[in-house]
Amino acid sequence: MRYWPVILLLVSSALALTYRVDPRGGPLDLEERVAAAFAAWRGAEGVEVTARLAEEADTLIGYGSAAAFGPDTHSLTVARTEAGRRTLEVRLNPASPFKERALLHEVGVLLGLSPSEGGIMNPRFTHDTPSAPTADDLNALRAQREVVPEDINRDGVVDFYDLWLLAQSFGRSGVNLPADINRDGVVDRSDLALLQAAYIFGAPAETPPATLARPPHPARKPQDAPPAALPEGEEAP
Amino acid sequence: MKRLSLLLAVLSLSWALATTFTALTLEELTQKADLAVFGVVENVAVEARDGEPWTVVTLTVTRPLAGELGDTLSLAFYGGVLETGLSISVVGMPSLAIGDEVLLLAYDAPYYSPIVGFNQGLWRLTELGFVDAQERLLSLDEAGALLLDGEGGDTEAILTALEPLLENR
Repeated sequence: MRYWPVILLLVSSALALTYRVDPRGGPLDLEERVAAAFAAWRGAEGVEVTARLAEEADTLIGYGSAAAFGPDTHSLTVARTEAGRRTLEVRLNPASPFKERALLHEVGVLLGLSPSEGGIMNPRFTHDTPSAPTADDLNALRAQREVVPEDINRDGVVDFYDLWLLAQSFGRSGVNLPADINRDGVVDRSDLALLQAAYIFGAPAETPPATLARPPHPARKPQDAPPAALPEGEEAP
Repeated sequence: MKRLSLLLAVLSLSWALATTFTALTLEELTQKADLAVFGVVENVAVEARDGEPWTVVTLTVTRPLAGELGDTLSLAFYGGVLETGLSISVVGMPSLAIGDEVLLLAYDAPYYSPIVGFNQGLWRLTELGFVDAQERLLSLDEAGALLLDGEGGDTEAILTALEPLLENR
């Protein structure tokens, strides 16, 4: 079977991403499908996405084994580390009827978006899953370009609540974890160091940001929730 | 080194989601399952298959619920860390550790994830009850019907309520 390594480089003032496409194991027009998926994300106001070829890329978009996906899974996001090199692989299920939607979702991941509860960035597909990024999806893409990565809760300030979120995620691994500030796939001391460098000391807002307003993990005790505010006279850590 | 690899294998599996899959109802989860079991994770090991790591999780079967089950059940999940240094981590793949008490609905097939609905047919037993990958509590309503998201309920009662759903497949 032929292998066409197609290497694309996305460059814009806001986004710079390099990736390859490998159509082995599925429809051979994957390069066009990927281009269409990126085009769909270009609707985000103020976010310019352009593409060009590159020799080496750490991100690969291809197909997995249809037999190994099973009946429920449409795509996998896979982080591979070998000989010190970390690559990100998107594997589409070639038998899935939702390949286009899965690709739109995965391209959103490559653009740095985290999964959400709605729109194309909701990884749990239903009959209501849109066939294109929604206005909320595009707003999320724009919003992520407007804040520094240390502002984990994206409320405009790097403070106690960002530290609290980082502490919650410390040790976790994955893709686009909000607390993975340096985007190396793991929330660890290097992220803490970046947060420390950007930290603005002062009393946190009395009302936690909306991103912290969701109910705590049911497996955690209620007292694990962050304090709404420090006692009067005390300073934030 | 082996212990480190196993530890890394467990750590590399994340509850974060980006992998995509079809959202399934409880009825769909039970209808699709070949195997259903409540058990305890007794071993987690990584082995190479075609040069790539798979994490094999072995459970002691506390309560068989559906399918042909022995005293133990082994399920393989794509990903892990080999002693060669090759690490593969699949976003959203269930994370299991020795000692975890879990309720699972699984396919009897070598899928990347054998859990029905990729990770939806897996609940970990916590002090509040059975929690799924979305951090929802498997629950019983006032009429005794199972819910994917509720206030929880007695573990034994939930398992008992699950049995007729599995028998009616």
